[in-house]
Parts: sequence; C-alpha cells; structure tokens
Amino acid sequence: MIGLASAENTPRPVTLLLILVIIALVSLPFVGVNPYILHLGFLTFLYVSLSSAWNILGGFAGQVSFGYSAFFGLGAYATGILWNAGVNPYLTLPVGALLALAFSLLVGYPCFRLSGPYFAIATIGIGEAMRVIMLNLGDITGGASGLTMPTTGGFSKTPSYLSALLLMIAVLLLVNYIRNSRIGLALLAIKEDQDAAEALGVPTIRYKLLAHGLGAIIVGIAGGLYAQYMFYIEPNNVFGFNLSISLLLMPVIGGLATLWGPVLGAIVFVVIQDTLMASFPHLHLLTYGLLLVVIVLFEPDGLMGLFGRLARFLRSRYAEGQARAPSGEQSL
Amino acid sequence: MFATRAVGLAIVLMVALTVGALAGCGAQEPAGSETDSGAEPAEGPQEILIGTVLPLTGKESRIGNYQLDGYELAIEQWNEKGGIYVKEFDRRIPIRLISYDDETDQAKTVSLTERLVTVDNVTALLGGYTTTLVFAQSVVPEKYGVPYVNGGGAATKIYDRGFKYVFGTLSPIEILAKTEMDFLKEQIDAGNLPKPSTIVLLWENTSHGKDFQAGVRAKVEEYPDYFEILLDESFELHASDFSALLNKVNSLEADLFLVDAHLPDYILMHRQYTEKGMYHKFITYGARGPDPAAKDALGAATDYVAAAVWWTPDLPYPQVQQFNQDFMEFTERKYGEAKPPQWYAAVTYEAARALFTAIEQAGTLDRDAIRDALDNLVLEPSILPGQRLTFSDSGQALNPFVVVQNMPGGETVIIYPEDAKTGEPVVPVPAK
Repeated sequence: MIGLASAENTPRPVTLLLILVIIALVSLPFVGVNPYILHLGFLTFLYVSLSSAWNILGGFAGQVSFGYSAFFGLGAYATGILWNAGVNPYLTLPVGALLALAFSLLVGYPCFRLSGPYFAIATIGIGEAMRVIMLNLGDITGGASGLTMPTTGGFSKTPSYLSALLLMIAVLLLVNYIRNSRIGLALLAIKEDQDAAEALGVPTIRYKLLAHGLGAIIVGIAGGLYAQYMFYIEPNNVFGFNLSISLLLMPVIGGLATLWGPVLGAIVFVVIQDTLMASFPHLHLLTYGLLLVVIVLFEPDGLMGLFGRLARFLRSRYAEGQARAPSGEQSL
Repeated sequence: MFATRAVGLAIVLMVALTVGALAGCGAQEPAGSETDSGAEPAEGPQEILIGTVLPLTGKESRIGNYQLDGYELAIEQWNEKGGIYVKEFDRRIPIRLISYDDETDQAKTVSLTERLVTVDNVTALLGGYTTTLVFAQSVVPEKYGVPYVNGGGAATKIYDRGFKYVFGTLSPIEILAKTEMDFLKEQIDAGNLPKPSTIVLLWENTSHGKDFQAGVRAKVEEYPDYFEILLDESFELHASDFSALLNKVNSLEADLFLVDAHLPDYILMHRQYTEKGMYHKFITYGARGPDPAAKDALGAATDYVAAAVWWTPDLPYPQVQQFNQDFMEFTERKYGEAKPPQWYAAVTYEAARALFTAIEQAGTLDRDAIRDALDNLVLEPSILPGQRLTFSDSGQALNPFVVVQNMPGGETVIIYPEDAKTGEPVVPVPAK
C-alpha cells in the first residue's frame, strides 16, 4: 500500500502524527467548535486540493498553466445548474469533474504542442475566454448576476467541511502515488528535458494530458464543493484570473514537485489571509508578494527547500556535538 | 534522511500555523455582545456590536467609504444619546461598529461576514455594496439567523430568494427605470420630445442592469405609441472600453440614450461619449448622474445628464436638510473637509437608523425579535422620498424615486415628480 507516509520515507512518528491530525480534523465538527474554524478548515482543505492539483502538471512536469480557473468554474457551474434543476448536489460533483476533464483534453491537446512561455500565454487566453463566454451565456449561467443555489436544505457546514477534507486526503494520496510511480518519473523527465525524455521513449504529450486531466478532475470537484458551500457563484469569481494566480503561487511558495510543498503553501496562504485580512486588508498580499520574491531569489525549492536546509543544518550541529562529546569525556 | 526531517519540520509548522489561526478565532470573546450561552450579566452587555463588510479599497472603494460614513454618522448620533434603549436591560447601550474591507472581492466579503458573525459575534449586520457583493454576503446572515439591513443592493433577485433576515433600503431598479419612463412620457405629452421617441437601451450585464432593462421594456410595452427601442444591448460591468458599443450607438439616430451603469462605467462611458461628440435629446445613466466624482472627472460634460435616484440632498424635507448639515459636519471632523452628502451615504444612514429603531422596538438583543421588529418597522419621518420607510414582505423597501438633472455650473435639481420639483427640466438637452 502506498500511503501518505511511505512515499517520502516518512518515519513512524510522523506517520502517527499525520493519523492523529486527520482524526482531530475529522472530529472537529462534532466537538462544538466555533463555526469559523470549520469555515477556515473548509477553505484550507479546498486550497490544498487545488494547489496540489496544479502541482501535478506545473510542479512535476514543469508546465506552467494560468488556466485552471476554467476547470474550477466548470465544476462550480455544473453543480450550480444541476442543483437548481433538482439534482442532489453531491451527484453533480462527478459531472463537474467529467466536464473539466473533457475540457482539459480539448484544450490540452493543441496547447501541449506549445512550450515554455507560449504554453503559459495560451492558457491565460483560454481562462479569460471561458470567463467572458460564461458572462455572456446569461440564460444558462445567469451572466454577471451569478447563480444562486437552493437554500431549502439548510446551511450546515459539516458536510462541506468533511467533503473538502475527504477530497484533500484523496488528492494527497493520488499525488503521493504519482510521485512514486512511472508517471511521476515521466513527468519529472519532461520537466528536466522534454526532447531527451521523448528520445528515451516517454510519450510526453500523453503524460502531460494525463497530468492535466487529473488536475482538472480535482479542480472541477473542488469548484462544485465551493458552489455548494458559498450558495452563490458568478463568472468573474469562479473563472477569475486571480484564482489561477493563487493556484500557481501556493505550490511555488510551498515547494514545487513535492507532496507537502503545496500543502504548506496553501496553509500559509489561508493563515496569512485570515490573520491579516481583517486588520490590514492589503498586508496579506504584500506579505505573500514578499515571500514570493524571497523564495524566487534565495530558495527556488520553496518553503520545503528551506526546511531541508534547516534540517541539514540541525543535523550537522547535532553531528558536531556528538563528535565533541567523547573527547570531553576523555578530558575528565 | 534530510527530506524526512524537512517533512517533519513542515508538518510541525503546518500544525503550529493552523493551531495558531484556529486559536486566534476561537479566543475573541466579544466585548459585551450577546453570546449564545445566554449567560449575560443582569445589567446586560456594555456594547451592542454591529458588523459591516464594505469595499473600502478596490474598484468600488469610493462608494464603499461613502456608505461607511452613513453608518458611522448614524452610530455617532445614537451614541450621543447613550446608545440604543433596550427594554430588557432598562438602559441605553452604546453601539460599536466593526467594519472590514472586502477589497470589492466576492470570496473575501463572504469570509469576512462569516467572521463578523462567528468570531466577533455581532448582534446584527449592516450590508455592503454593490449588488453582486450584497448577493454573496447576504447568504451568511440568513445562514446564522442574523438581522441584516443593507443600503447597497437594489436588484430584486437579492430579495426573491425567500430569505427572512435580509432587508434593504434601496427600492427596486425596475421602479427606477419606470419612474424615468413616466417622466419621459410626460415630456412627450408636453411636446418636448417626438412621439414616438426612439431609444438606445444599454445596461450592465448584472441583475441590476437586467432590472433596468425590464423596467424600460415594461413601459415601452405599456405605451407602444410613445417609445420605440432601436438598440437593446448589455455591456460588461467595470469594462475598460466602450468605443465599439458607442460607435454602434452613433450609427443610429436615436432620441433617448438610456443606460444603466455603476459609477466607474458611467464616468468612462460618458467620457468616450463626449469625446466622440455624440448627442441625444435625453441622457441618463440610471441612478448615476449627479455624483461629484463624475462632475470632478468630466466637468461640464455631465451637464443635463439626468438620473433617477433613491435620495438627493435637494429633497424639500426638514429632516433632509438636517441630515445634510450633520453629514457635512461629520465628514469635516473625520476627514478635515466637509463632503457633500450623496445618496450612497443617505441610504446606509437610513439602513442603520432602521436597524437601531428595530432593536429599540424589539426591546431585546434577541436576533429573531429584532428581525420581527424590522418586518413590522415604520420609520417616520424618513429622509427617503415619501418620508416613510417600511420593508415589503420580501425585505426590500418600496420608496418612490425622484428624477434629477445636472445643470450648468454644477447644480443638480429635482425635475420629477411635480410635488418634489426644485427646478424645470431641460428637455431636449441643448446641442453642444
């Protein structure tokens, strides 16, 4: 079995810690915590899932896409439209995922023939085109007026919280699997040198489409959960360029092509936003921007790279201490 | 091994960050607000906490700050009296406003409203601005059963969701459009405009704009001999260029230029309209026209632009004159210079007064009792047209509109209805 703990050779204490954290998170809604904690939890799980999804293609394969908001919006609108038509909102999630998958294949095939900045520019165009199209499909999407979800079923946060938690765990298991499988190796090979990978027999387009499709499925489901939770969506928000940028920034800050980097990036994003937004509205953007500049300049591997350095430093200090200890005993 | 240690450190940091954030939101006990436990001291809370989330920065910051001024003025005036009299505690309790800035962002407005209710534990909420943001944030008060009164959302779609806790002081946009059309019919009858008058109808692609379109179309259907629509087209909210749309308009020789736009779009569109040397016998941007920001930006180009508004400082009621004076004194204290009163602040001032009156009438800080009091509220004398504020079954006020027109020299006069007139309309507007 490939679990969260095994892939990065996580030792038993860390595995136990992870299990405890998951148990604690699952039990939160049932111990009467402040609803705002569940709100923050929902957002955190959602952002972790989104940034991990982006990391599959952007981190492992090095293909920088600015168009993931299109998948998010498709998932959100699939849920919004079908829920309003009387379909159970949870049954709408696979529909949103399939729509996002179909769209990812449709745009991925031509776009993956481009590389580097040309690919990134093409994805910006696709994301913005989707936003404008949805704004003008007023009869289906409600246009800029947005779409309101049915509120007859009540407003309990617990189902959304647990669904987002479940999605996050599933996404982390999937990323863990990818990282330790042939897929992960192929994607890393594409990132290192696409031509060389091709020459070695890696079907690069197929693997990139696979990574794009998996990311789209996750983001589509996340969009559906967002619509269920917010009860209101509109194209400028769910297809917005800001969302695409946020999805990219989180893994970059946390650490690309790692399992825990996007998780850390998402948590830092939500925590910084929540801590500073109420008191200093623009400071969270400044803080995030500064963090990004520092990471790009000094630690391209993100916060995970920083922790790696810290771990090495602590280890070397510990080793030095161990080396000095016997001589001290001798002097006694 | 290094990677393992890095993972360990990362997990520890993640847990620490999360615990820190969660502890932060759980620890804030409101200073004297009502709590769920109901374990209040017999003398009651020291303050009544009221929350609001407004766009204080971003695209709509200018209006967001105006709306905040309206709320703050009302609170200052009530606190000068000692606060709201709450019968349950037999004393006046001061009001404290907690305001957050959503940066004109939908996700943030929801998050911050959620925070006001669950972390700050406010007794009631005052609403935000624009229709879209009010749409998004008003789900939160309904979710938690918190009374919510706004002065920033006029679209009927906000109120037709069957929500019980959402109230608004802005009358429907459809009535706004119909009021302008009634005025135009009167002008046609007076021979100032041709019969039928041809219309170019442009509206922002939002529920706000759709309501405007519906109002115009309803009147065109009601008076088919009076009006004929040549162009009926929407545009994107906060657009960056209207040249193509205006070229299309210019190719038609319409009599009436009827637009529904928010302030930034009004300023941009009218700038481009003026640069192209366009002319129509009557020009309106819905509720926008007399805004000082537009007059500052466009100068004499705003002359003769008409608007149907929820409120104007020229309303001939003594309470309006008092409000004008109070508002200018308040802004002078706050900003060091007096700001002219605008409808954005007047409607939020009334929203706050409505809420505080309802709390007083409820005689308790129980949220359901306050909601019931809002349902039955009759606020008289109100500073809004009609001098009486009540909420319909849907929660939306149904006050009449007044039509105003900018005159050369920066003056704005009320031109409709007859009993509120402070000047004569200039229709058709003179060609420049």
